[in-house]
Amino acid sequence: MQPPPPMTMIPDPADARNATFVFLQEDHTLGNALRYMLIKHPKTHFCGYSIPHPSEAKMHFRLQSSDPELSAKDLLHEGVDSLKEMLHHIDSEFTKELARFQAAQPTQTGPASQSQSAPIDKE
Amino acid sequence: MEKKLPAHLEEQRRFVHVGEEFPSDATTLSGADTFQTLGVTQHWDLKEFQEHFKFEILRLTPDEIQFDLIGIDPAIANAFRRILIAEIPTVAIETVYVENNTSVVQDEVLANRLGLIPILVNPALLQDRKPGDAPTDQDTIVFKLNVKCTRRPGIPEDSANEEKFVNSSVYSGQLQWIPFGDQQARFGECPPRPVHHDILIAKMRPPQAMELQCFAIRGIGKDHAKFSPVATASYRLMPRVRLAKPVEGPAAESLKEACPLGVFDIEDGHAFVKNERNCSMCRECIRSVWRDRLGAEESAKLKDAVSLGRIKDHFIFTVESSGILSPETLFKQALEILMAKLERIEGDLLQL
Repeated sequence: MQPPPPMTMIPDPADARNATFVFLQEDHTLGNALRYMLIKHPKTHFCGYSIPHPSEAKMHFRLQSSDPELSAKDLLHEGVDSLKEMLHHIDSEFTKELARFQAAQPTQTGPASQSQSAPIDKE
Repeated sequence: MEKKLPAHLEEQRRFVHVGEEFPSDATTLSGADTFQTLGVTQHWDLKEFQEHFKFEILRLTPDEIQFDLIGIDPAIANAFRRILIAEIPTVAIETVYVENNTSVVQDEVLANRLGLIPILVNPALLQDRKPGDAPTDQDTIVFKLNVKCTRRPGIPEDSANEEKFVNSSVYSGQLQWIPFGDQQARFGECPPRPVHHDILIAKMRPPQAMELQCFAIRGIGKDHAKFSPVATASYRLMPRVRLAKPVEGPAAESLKEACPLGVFDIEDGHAFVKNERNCSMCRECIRSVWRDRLGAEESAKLKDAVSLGRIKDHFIFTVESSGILSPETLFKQALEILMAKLERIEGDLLQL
């Protein structure tokens, strides 16, 4: 479980707006989350990812920007930043909700009190 | 999104529709320019996200959490689920040195069984061991299992095995932690042990015995499922059940009966949706099979009465811990791991 080798970029020699980023030891977890954020970016012309071979821990992330002033590299950076903003918000909401929920619960002292929390969702 | 989509498109964008034969509108339409031709854009907008996002805990027990995530995309929900299953580190037995094993369980099967036992250790107190490195007290926890099955003297032959023999069953609770280096001080307050003491490892008869040393290391579920910190981590979309027209009298009675999960109930002779969340999309309420048995008149009243669907951005998560980390810690760690991935990319981008 070592940190993965750094991400690399396969640039388009003719146009900085286009690039493919190669992530080692990453998969759909990161690929799809990032893709979602980038297709919501107003300056994304194209964004997609693929895992070229299932037995190779490698993810290709293709990105094309529609703005000549915005390189693929900077666009990816903006996508990453937006995703971070989102996670920060989820994190703070989670912390708030957990505190609220725990405050609302009767203090649990032993296994006996566990039975108090009746299942809300019957599945 | 300043301009609104026409109602029928908004309906398709927000909900999955479940028909008698198949679901429709199941795709996610979250792209910025999906509805550009209609003058509607869906650019990322933090404010808008913050307005719509909701986190609601429904249930929290020592080993299970159930919560609603409202206002997020499947890509994000799925990232959490995948990280919960495969990327949160825990400690499990990786190597077993067998000094003696005369039980009927073969060494390799025994080692596999030992690996799957959840070990209660705070994973943060241990470092990762690089493959090929020698184990040290910083990255390895050692357990000893030394049991011998013997006969208790003077017990009649027709008694139960547990009475006749000592150690006829070997349980996880018999694993003994052997501290090395500074481990006694580091783990002293909460000595490493299996989460459950009553997991059956093997059965033996006199004079079988086993003498083993087990080396536990930190790892993640991606490497081997034994490191996964969850028993299950899954989500489903929130059901949406609506009555398109009033249902009353015997038809209401039949509708209530038809649903095996008690979604519908009756008030003043009228059927109403009481328990949307319970719906399992079995589609019994929209099937014609039982409806037709009611006769033409009642059947017509029920035709197209129920509209079934799911809300595309409302996820009901259920996460059950394997007992090593508390369920609320699990979600917190999933967030941290995803965040760490993004921070790593930012670092890598600066190096490019």
